This record gives sequence, structure tokens and C-alpha cells, in this order.
Amino acid sequence: MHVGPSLDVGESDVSCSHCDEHLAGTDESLKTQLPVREGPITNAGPTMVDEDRFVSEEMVFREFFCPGCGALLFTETARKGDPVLEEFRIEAE
Amino acid sequence: MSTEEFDPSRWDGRDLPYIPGEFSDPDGVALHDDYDADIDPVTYEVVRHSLWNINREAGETIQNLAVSPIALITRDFQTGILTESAEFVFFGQYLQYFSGTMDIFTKWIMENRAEDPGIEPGDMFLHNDPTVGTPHQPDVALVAPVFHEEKVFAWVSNLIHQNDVGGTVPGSFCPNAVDTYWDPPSIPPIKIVEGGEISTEKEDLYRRQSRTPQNLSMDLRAGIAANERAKGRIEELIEKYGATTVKGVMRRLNDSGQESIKETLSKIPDGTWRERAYQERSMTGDDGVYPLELTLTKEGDELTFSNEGTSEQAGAINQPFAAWRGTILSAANVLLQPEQMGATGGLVRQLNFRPEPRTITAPDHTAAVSPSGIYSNQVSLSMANSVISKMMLSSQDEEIRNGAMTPTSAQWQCHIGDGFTDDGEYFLAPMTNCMMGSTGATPKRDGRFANGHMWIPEARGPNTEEYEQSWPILYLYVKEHGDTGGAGERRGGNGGKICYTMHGGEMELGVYTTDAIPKTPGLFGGYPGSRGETVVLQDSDVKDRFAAGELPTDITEIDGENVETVGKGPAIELDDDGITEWWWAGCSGYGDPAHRDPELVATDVRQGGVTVETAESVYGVVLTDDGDVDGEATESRREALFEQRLDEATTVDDIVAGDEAVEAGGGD
Ligand SMILES: [Zn+2]
Repeated sequence: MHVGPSLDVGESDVSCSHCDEHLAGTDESLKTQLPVREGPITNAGPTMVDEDRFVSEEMVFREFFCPGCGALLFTETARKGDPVLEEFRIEAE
Repeated sequence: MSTEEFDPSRWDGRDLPYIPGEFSDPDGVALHDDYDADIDPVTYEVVRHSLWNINREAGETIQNLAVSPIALITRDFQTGILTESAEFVFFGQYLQYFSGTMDIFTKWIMENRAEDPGIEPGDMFLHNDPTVGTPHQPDVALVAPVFHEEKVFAWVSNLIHQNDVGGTVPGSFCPNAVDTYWDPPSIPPIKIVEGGEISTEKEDLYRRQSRTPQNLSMDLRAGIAANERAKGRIEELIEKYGATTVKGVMRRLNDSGQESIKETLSKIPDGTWRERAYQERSMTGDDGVYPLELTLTKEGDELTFSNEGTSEQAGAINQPFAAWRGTILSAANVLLQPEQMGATGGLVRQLNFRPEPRTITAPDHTAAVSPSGIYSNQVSLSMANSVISKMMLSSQDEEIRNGAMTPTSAQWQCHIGDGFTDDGEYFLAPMTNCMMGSTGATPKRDGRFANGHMWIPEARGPNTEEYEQSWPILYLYVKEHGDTGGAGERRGGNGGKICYTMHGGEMELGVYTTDAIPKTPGLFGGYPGSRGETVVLQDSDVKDRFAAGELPTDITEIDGENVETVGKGPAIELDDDGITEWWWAGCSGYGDPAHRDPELVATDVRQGGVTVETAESVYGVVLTDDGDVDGEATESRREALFEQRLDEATTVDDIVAGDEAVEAGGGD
């Protein structure tokens, strides 16, 4: 099954639709298996701002990549140290 | 998802928000439920369209008669026709999240008002109680029974956003509210019209809370007129086609809507889709961070929504349960079944809501909710937009996939000022230029600037001259704000920015929007939508510039004393030469920006939607001096970008403590 622009979900594994790289088993939480780059939220776009003046907790911007081709598969904003959000879990047909 | 039966009995609209249980005939009022199952197709279509037109006519009545600027200009109102048991028949093309409230409060009225004071022909109930079911106190609801042969045949209803219904801040969005007792008063359903006559004592009570009571009275009459119009038209329809035929059309409309949504859902795999966003600063002076979560579980032909993981209710960033439900219905209605033209009843049958009590998205009655329209309602709209779109993007049906859209902006940026004109007249200025809007991206096309908002199809941007005529301000510019749409293979629509200066009179900004945390999630590698900002310069040289014949086109060209703003900050009085720029945010992106067609990026740069710097750093597109794509340089730039990403990446275990790596986890 094709999910979004970049993922193929099979019976037992999820792979990258750009390079066919195996990404994770369907019984695993996909994003936890991917290479991730974590940086300040100013990485999320040119009009973003350092949150320091606004809130007392550190926020981060995370980018999750395909280890095979470097495609950007997911982004997320999180409080530093917060768990990675599992965005979906579907039952292969 | 828990298979445990949800028990709505505690959710009675007193302490916890009202969630109706299984519907049973209420004591004290008879319901007309006879219907004809055998209606010929022509009659069905004629009556169906008549009902749609009746609801639209009710909306036009409000448009013609209402005076509150937000309702008038932005179409921040809604009209609906419901069956005798308060199932939606038609719901208008105005503010969509009111859908979460109308059927709920109508059921509450049947359960709680049928015996005392009774429900009779010619009655109309008014309420604005968020715990019974409104998005916040300024949204005032009116609902009237339509009787046929001494039984309730149907209900007609509307909600209109009011200029001011009291509370600590002019305009009734109160970012400094500690609890509901700082908010405008919440009025549970009262019989404002009895036997066709407005109750003057109840109207006096209602008016007394407001800074602009004449607006309340005028809009009250607009709402009454809209319900009266819809009621009269339904009575004419019954007269012409017979009660059982009209009721049969309503039944069939909802049954076929239900079959249609089941058919759509049969083309989507079962599973779970989740979103998380962080609210910041729960009220004036606070600097906390508050996660909100939304989980959508699809099992067969039913969708269940849970807010598990959402923070406890806090400060003024709460959202009534009915509004949370409404934001989900908005996204479902617009994205999953646009062809139903607002016939929402069938869809509602397939949705379940499982809120955790006393959280930001299902607070108890003590919580402040009045500014929800700016904060949590928008975050929830954006999150509902996200989970439903992700679910649609898991379908193998091209039409369903292509109907998905990246999330709408997670805050409703605005300015609300009040003060006195040069003539000493009090004014209240809710500036809603943000209604020009921005739309999300779909798999096949980009989002767009100034294309409205998905959650309020009929909305209009305000007329600049009209604002200048009404309030002592002068606009310098309203324009597209480049690089604010989330980057992606398909990019989100950009937001805009507005700049105005004082022009006589005096004004204090009680509400303005500035935030730091990106809240509008990108989908499948897309970047988030942008944020809001309010830039204030006091004692500026803008009037000197005017005198010298200059017209600045950007606030950075103007000198003045900069006042830093934060979200929900204290009121700011703009001085005579005060100038302020504020932004409304863009929507998020879809897919990897480094996979975007370079020619589209070149066009974006030419049109000012994306800067040259972003084209290169985020999209990996290098342009020649003429603005054309440099193919070779772009290819090597992108190769380097992909390599750099993996070089700089680490593992999830490195950034999150081991056993906490996955939020919720398992998904089962
Ligand atoms: Zn790949």
C-alpha cells in the first residue's frame, strides 16, 4: 500500500518508495527506526523565531529521513526530550 | 483504542460538558416521527434542494440583518435545520465548527427544558453556555422548534458571533482569564421568545453584560428573523408536499449520507492516525508549554476520536468539548464529503468522540474558554485536518488521496482594539484581515495565499476602507508574506501581513497575536505552517514620512521605538504615531521540499512566494541571475543536501530516553 508521497506499506515491512530501502517492520514504530536530525525550531522555516523569550521549556524541530536516499519522510515539533509521535499504524490489506 | 463502553451519564452539561447518550423521546414534548419511505425521485430532489435553499435563505437573512462586524464580514455564524430528534438535515457553508454544537444543545434543551418551562409553538431558546455546547461565550445560539399538529416536526437554529458579551477584555476574547468567572457570563438555554414575543426582561439581562448592547439587540433580531424565515419555509413545504413526505426526505437524506460515508470508509484501511501540537502561554503572564493530542481510530465503518495525552485544562487556552467535536466535524465534513453540501447527519452517525475530562479540549465548566476562537479551536482544527488527511493518504483510492489537504493554520491571528474616535464615540475594533486566508496543499497542487480558509467556505476578507471609516486607523499595506507557507513537494499557501497606524482618536489593543512554537504540522516531510507576530513601533516617524510624500511599504523602513510582544500579553495603547504590523500564518507543506519540481520553485521565487535563499537552502534549487533553474547546480545542490541530512542525523535513542521513544506506542 502506498501511504503519502514516500512510503510503501507491505504485509511485514515499510519501505521508501523513492529508493526501496527497508525502513521498519510494520510491527515497529516507524519514525523511531529512522535517522533523525534534531535542531532548534528556527530550522522549521525562515520566519520562525527562538522560543526562549516566549516559553520556559526548550522546543526542537525534528526531521526524519530515509537512510537509503536521504528523503525527508516526516517533520515534527516537540518539547526537547518528548517521545517521538507515532503518526500512524495501519493494518495492511 | 479502548473497547470499553463510553458512559455519557456524567457528561450532563452541568460540571462536565454535555455529551448526549442514546436518544429517547423526551418527557413533556411530543415528536413528529411519521415518515413516508416511498418517495418518487423527483419529489425527493425537489424537497431536498428546497431544504438546502431554506437553510441558505436563513443564512442570507443573517447576512442582511446582523450588525456585529465579525459576523457580518467574516461570516462567523451558522444556520442549521435538524430533525425532530436533533439530527442534522442541513448545515450551512459558514463557520464549520459550529456543527459540533447545534445537535448537542438542541438535545440538551429537549432533556432539560421540555417539562419546565416547556417547549411550545412560537418559542425560541437562546444560550451561549460552552458546557451545554457553544465554541465560546461570544457565539450566541438561537434554536426554535418547528411544530406540526402539536408535535415537534423539526428544529431550526443559528449561532452568531457577537461583538461583545462582557468579560475582562473588550471583544470578549479574554486572554487574561483565570477561570470562567473572568470570562463573559455563560447563559444556559433560556426561553428568549415565548409565543412569538421577545421576553424583554431576559433581553435586558442579556444586554446588561455587553459593552455594545445595541449590537446584541440587533443581532438577536437577525437571528430570530433567520429562524422565523426557516420555520415558515418548512411549514410551507409541509403544506405543499405533506409532513410525512418532507420527513421522509429528511430520513432518506441522512440514510444516504450515512451510506455514502460508509462507502468512502470502505476504501480506507483500518488503523490509527495521530497528531500532537503544543500550545504556549496559557494566559497573560504564563510561560508554560501545553501538549494537545488527537488520535483517530478507524475500525470498519466507524471513526473514533480521542484526545488522550492532552494537558489538563489550563488558563485561557481551553476549548469546550462541543467545539473540539466541531473542529473534527469541520475537517470531516469538508474533506471527506464535500459533495454532501452540508448534509451532515449521516456522517455524524459514524463518528464517536471519547474525550478525557478536565483537559484543554474537554474542560469542565469552571475553565476559561472565551479566547478559544483564537487558540485551541484553531489548533484542534489543524490537528483534525492532519489526522483525517493522513488517513485519506493511506487509502489506495486516488480520489480519496487527492482530497487530502495539509493542515490549516493552528491559530486565528487577529487584533481586537477598543477606544474612542475623535468625536468621542466608543468603538470596538475586531480586525479580521486574516480571513483573506491561506489554504493547504493537496497531493496534486499547492496551497494558495488569500484563498479563504477550509473551515469557513463563505468567509470574506474585510474591506480596508470600511475599517478605516469605522475606526481611527490608516492602513499602510496588506500583502502576501513570502516563505510562510510550509515548504514541501507541494507547498502550503502563504499567509499575509498587514500594517496600520493610528489616525486620530485613541485605541488600546486588548488582543493581538504573537507566538513562537510552530503549531501547524507538515504532512509526510512537509514543513510546518508559519506563526503569528505583532510588531509594534511607538513614537514612529511614519507621519513625517507621509509629510515628505513617502509611503513606506514595509515596517522595516520606519523608525520608532520597538515594543516586543508575546502571546496573550497585556494590552498595548498605541500612541498617536504608533504603527503596528501583524501577520496571519500560512498552511503547512506536503512531502519533501527537495523533491519539488525546480520549475515550480523558480515560479515561486518570481512571484515572491518563496525567497531565493529558501529556494536554495530548503528546496535545493539554484537559480541563474535571470531567475531560471540552473539544472546542473540544482542537481548537485540536492545531492549535497541529501548527503548532509544523513551526515547530521542521529538515532531516536540519542534524542529521547530509551523506553519513552514512542508516544503512546503500540497503537493498539
Ligand atoms: Zn529512500
